[in-house]
Amino acid sequence: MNKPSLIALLVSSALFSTAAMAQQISGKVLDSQGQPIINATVKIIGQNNQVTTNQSGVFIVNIDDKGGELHIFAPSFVHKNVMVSAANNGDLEVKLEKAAIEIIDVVASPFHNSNIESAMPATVLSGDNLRMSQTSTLGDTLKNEIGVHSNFHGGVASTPIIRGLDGPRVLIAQNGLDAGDASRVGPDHSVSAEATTSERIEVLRGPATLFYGSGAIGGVVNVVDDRVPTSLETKGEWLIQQDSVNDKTQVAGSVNHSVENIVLHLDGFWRDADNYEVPSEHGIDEIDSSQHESSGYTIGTSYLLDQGYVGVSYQELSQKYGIPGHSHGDEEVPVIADMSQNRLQLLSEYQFNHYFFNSMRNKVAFTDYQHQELELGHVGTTFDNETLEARIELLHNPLAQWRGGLSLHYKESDFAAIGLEAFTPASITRSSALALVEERHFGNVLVQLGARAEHTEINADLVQLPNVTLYDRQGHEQHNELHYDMRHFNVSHTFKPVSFSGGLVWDFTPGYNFAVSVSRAQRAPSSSELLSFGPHIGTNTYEVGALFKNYLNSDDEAYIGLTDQDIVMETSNNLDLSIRKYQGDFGFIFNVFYNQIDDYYYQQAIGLSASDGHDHHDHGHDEHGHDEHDDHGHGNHSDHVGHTLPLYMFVTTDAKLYGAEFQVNWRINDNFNAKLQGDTIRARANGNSELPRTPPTRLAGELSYEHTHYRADLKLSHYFEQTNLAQFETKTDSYSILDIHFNYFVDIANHSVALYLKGENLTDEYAKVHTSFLKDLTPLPGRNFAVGIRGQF
Amino acid sequence: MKTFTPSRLFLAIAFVALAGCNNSDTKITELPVAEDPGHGHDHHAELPVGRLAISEADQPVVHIFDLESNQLIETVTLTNPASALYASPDNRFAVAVQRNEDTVEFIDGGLWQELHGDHYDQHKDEPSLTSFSLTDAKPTHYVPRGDKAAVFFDGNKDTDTVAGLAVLDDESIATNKVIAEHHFDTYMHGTAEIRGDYVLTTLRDPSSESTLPEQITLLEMHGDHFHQEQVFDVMCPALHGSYQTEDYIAFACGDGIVSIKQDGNLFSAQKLTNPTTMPEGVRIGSLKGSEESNVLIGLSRGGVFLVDLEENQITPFEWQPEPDINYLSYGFDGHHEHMAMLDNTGKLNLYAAEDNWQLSARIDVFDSIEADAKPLIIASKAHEHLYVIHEHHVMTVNLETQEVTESIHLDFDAGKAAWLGIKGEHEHDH
Repeated sequence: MNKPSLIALLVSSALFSTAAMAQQISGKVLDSQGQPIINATVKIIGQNNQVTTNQSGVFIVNIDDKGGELHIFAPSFVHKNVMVSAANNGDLEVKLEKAAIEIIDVVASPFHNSNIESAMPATVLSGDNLRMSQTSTLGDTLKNEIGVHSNFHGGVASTPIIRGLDGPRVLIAQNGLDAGDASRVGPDHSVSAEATTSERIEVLRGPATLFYGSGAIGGVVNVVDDRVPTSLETKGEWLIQQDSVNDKTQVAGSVNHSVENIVLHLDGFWRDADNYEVPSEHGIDEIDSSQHESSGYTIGTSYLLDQGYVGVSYQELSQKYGIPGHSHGDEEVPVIADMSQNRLQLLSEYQFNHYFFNSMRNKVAFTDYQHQELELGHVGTTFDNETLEARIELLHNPLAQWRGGLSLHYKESDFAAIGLEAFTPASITRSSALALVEERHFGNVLVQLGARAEHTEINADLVQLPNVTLYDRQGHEQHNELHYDMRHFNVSHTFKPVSFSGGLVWDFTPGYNFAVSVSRAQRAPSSSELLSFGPHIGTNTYEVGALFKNYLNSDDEAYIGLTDQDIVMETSNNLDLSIRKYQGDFGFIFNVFYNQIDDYYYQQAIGLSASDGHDHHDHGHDEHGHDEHDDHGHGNHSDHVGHTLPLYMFVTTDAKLYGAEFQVNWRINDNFNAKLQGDTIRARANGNSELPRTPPTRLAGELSYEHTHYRADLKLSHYFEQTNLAQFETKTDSYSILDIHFNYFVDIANHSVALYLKGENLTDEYAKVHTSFLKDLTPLPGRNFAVGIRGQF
Repeated sequence: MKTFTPSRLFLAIAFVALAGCNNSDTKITELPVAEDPGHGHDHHAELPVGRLAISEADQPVVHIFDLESNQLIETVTLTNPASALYASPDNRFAVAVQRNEDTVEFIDGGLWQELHGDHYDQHKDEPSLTSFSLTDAKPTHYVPRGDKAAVFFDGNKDTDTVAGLAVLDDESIATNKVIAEHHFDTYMHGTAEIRGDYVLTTLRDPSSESTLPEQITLLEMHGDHFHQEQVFDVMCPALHGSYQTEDYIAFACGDGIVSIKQDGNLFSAQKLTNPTTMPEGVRIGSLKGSEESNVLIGLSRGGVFLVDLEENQITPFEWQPEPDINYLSYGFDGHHEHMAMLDNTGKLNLYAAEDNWQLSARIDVFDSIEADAKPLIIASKAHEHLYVIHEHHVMTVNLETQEVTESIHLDFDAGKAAWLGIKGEHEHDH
């Protein structure tokens, strides 16, 4: 990493001068009936300041002599952009139409986009909806969002699945930069981005490699908070909640305070939960090792300039949680994950006058992450990940009405797994990339184009190829006659993924739009997909990376050697169509998508087993295997051969994923709102076999009642049975979950307080999660009541 | 207005970069097996010679010598003078017992190793006093077994403080913790034998006059504490001294030896009474041996005995290589394959465990030695070396070549000593 040059670039952003004359412009924001809209936000695009409208809907802004573009938005109204100049002063009236679907800006994309205006489907969870949805894990927090399922790992480490993809294909970002944890290499590793102190969580469904690189070919979850404040506003938020199903107590809070141009941010949270209860079945009414405890804090500060800001933040986070499903023979051995993370982040943005560029955004983060798995107090495995990431975005002045900019991106990750589960050797992954994104309005059609070239290197000094003893399905030892115990290799991979995307959003009639997004994205495989070799206790498999391959010798006995195939990149070609109605009392969004993925990396059972390296233990897990489920009783022949694990090789195949999503919103009257949404997906590998753990089809309905001081939501979700099964996978039954939320709002001296009650899974439904690695071991929690109070000022 | 020329450059790079670079490349270099594969470590890395911690008699200091260079590398100041100095189970730390001050302190010797995938990374740090200490009444017996050790606190009769037991290992010391601890309901000069998750330890009748225990109990470790599983009926009056082999756990009593056999989670005890040939007033007060041999060495004021736990007999140990020889001190080599007795002629006599403790070698260490000398015999766990410390001399005895050299000359009076370093493979057997 060339740090000096990066710093030079960051500093250089502060050197651009501004020398423009300011003009004051006033205007009025009205609804379609001509009534003023109070508290609408007016933002000058390309500037840091924003104002809100007064009781008469009037606002006053300063623009420079060349004029500017205003972005005007208010809750429950459709956002609007208007071009203004000094001539508009006094007679500017902006009419906002009622929004049928809540419109929220998305910061995860470099375009100034909302969930409605983007060519690519996006959802944002924020405000009260976020507070009422947040759980201990990111996966469970987002599981009710369209196209997102949770890989429900006993409620302790659930991570989000976007349109059937997760792991190294979905990037978890925190304020736009990689969360830097180990959640992408194991379903039992929790995400280090925290929902309770976040302001919003954005989900980009579909390839987002353009902005985020290889890890985002399936989508992005961006957890956004205010750790580097961007406004002088003094504000705060707090929450206390108690749950019944796992006796969970949580406390969270954040505060921003400004002194002149310096803003300070402090947030913190603490959460402690016992094992959760499930509807009693086979005498089990509680899931062992599902307890968790976590806490963390962030301090941040920023300096606000007239045309931007620069700020830094520091975060410490620790989590301790049980890992359900680790049992050794007839004795339950509790396994505890102990995770800690420190993260330093620097964010800045600066607008300037230059003949070509007009603004620069910088993001830098350094993350030091450690995750240990402890059995009986002894550290079994340590995962270490140090990540350094920097992104610089340079936006240019409109050029033939094209708006856009360049993004320079560097990421370095030093990853190692040490110990019992050392299935991935230490490696350093470095990638640098250059991307260009542009958009332009042609009448009522918005065209968005982008391209990105990346250079990724994975270097591992010591990759091991042990002469592992293999057994076939009958338990026969394979006599490979190899004359070594272990071979060592120095491996270096270089990949140059290139991604292109094109999208258009056509406002074909007022209040409607039609969006198409076409993209070709490439992904460099991750170090664990390439270099793994060893037992992975979390999934109860023996993992072998794509660098290796199984062969037969002249006696037809199996052995593993280096692969004779080229190591290739994954390439996906994608089409996404959306039609949206967003104005008025009735709105909808329909999406269909089709992804054709060539050289899709996945784990394939090859009918062999390998010793897990410690014969005296019998890992009696009954969980399914990794990518292809493993319910074939690999322990059958272990009497003779010690304890073995089924061997899964990373191989490539061509895959197709396609599906549809919809959301319908009906504002029945001022008090009642009804929502219906659903999604379905099909994921097939070449030869029409199914990919494993594919989310089931889902339908959810929600009825909300809102009054001055109350809000009540009744939600019924139905998950259909999943019968599209991969090899060795079993059918998962359908289930329905009924939730009810009730909020009582009261203002106490500039302080908005909400007392709330949540009833979840009210019918105490016994539900298995098809997307979970532990589907048979960890059904969803039973009936839960939560009571809480939260406030903001 | 300032110009910003790099912009054109960026665009130029962008278009070059986007113009069809689309490939993957993998380079694999096989590393030679014999060579160090890049990290400066492998399975069979040469073990360092180690370090010697020697306390200064009656002074609260411990000097650490490097045995490679035979130089003093650090002097560590304790809170009080050490009444005893031991090595931690994996020999990283020196355990400085300060019995009368109710304190145990730990000195990090600086040499240790850490499992890193399939190999160990060796660390060579400066020695230092750790911030970890144990404070309980009268820490006395220290019993290392396998990768753990038990520290027995005798309690205090005068202050009515009860006895206690702490189990620790190098990892727990490094993280300022004990693995588990236990308190008894009275004081006693007791001991403990760790056996897997079990600890066999002693009980004293609170109404007894003696500070010595008379019964043996079986505790099982449950996380950070113990549950009492069994109290053995076989009594062991005036219990002092214990040892265990692979097959047996033995405690020395005033009237004989209690031998306990383990079968899974069943433990059964029996008594070997002192033979009638044993002189009046003599009892075995200390048991030593090797895990590999079921014949223990029993030391008493009235001579040395062999305690055969398989044959259930106690017989005098004919250890004297020649008539009228006394031993001044004894010790064992790093793997307990040999007992070493330094006699009053200055010779070191080695007795082989596998040969029923027959004399296997005599090595001249000193030309002559005082009759009341108490040299220290300290074993290296990495190499076949014994260190004999007497007056201001540290003699290195190479057990393979039987060479003796004076490696270090001390400028202080040695109190106690312990070898610190990374132990060789042998010790992982049990």
